[in-house]
Amino acid sequence: MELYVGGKYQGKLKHVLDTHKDLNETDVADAAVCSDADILSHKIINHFHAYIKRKTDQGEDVTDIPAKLKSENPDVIIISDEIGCGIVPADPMDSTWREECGRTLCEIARMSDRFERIVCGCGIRIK
Amino acid sequence: MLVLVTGGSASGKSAFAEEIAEKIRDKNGSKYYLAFMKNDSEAAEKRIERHRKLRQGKGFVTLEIPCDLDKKLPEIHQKRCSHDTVLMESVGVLLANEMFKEGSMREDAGECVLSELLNASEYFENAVIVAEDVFTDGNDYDEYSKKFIEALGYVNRWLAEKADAVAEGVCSYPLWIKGGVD
Repeated sequence: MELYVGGKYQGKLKHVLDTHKDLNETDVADAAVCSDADILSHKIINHFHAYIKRKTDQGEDVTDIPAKLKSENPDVIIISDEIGCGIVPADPMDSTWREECGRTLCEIARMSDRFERIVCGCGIRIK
Repeated sequence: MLVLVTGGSASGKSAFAEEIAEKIRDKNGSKYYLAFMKNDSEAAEKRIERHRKLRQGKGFVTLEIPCDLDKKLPEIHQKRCSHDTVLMESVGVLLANEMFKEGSMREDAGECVLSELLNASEYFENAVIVAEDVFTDGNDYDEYSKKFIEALGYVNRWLAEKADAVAEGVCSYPLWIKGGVD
């Protein structure tokens, strides 16, 4: 399992594809729109924060997602925007999303063999 | 030693700050947790409970001081009386408490909170301060929120200037921005 986080439009997917020459665009699932099955079968999950948003907006519990990914898609590469660096959102749905997304990413980071933050297309290796 | 830990919401900065407090503490002294959050809503209660559980069994003595730190701290802890370490959480919460205390906005809340936090850290041999990063979401906010964000930026910058080490929590891992803790 690998995790790549950063602000939006920082070139996260490009960085991942550049550094994993065996993978290409067909390996990427767009978590903003793809199915649960896609999440468990694709090698790269892009826009992971949007997947968490879809789940928390429907009131679903996201606690088990990291463990499920680890057991059913152990080599998955997860790409997510960092969304926590603002004022607490007024809308409770947004604040729940922000909170749950942060905690889920903490858990995925702990499970990952490699964890990087991407700034302006450059990867900073944290783990 | 003074350490500042910054990070976004749910970035794991609290858990990481606890680890730092444990690392830098003098084993002959106690570990204090200075909590600034007011228990005035269901959401606040949930957060406080979650943080209590996180700290359980880790040997922290909890002091709850949501405002007027300068007045209340001397009543419960003597200045530099021992080898104690404090973890203070968090700058944004204390700032919001002071800034919007009496229904109107206090313009000097940033300066006041900065001086209170630096004074408070003087009561202990070691201090770890947790600060929110609220600066990069690109959203537009109302005037009150803008003033709050600006004041928090001011306090965080000065704390970082005074701190021996500054870390950012990223998905529960530390990125050291200034110095470090072995």
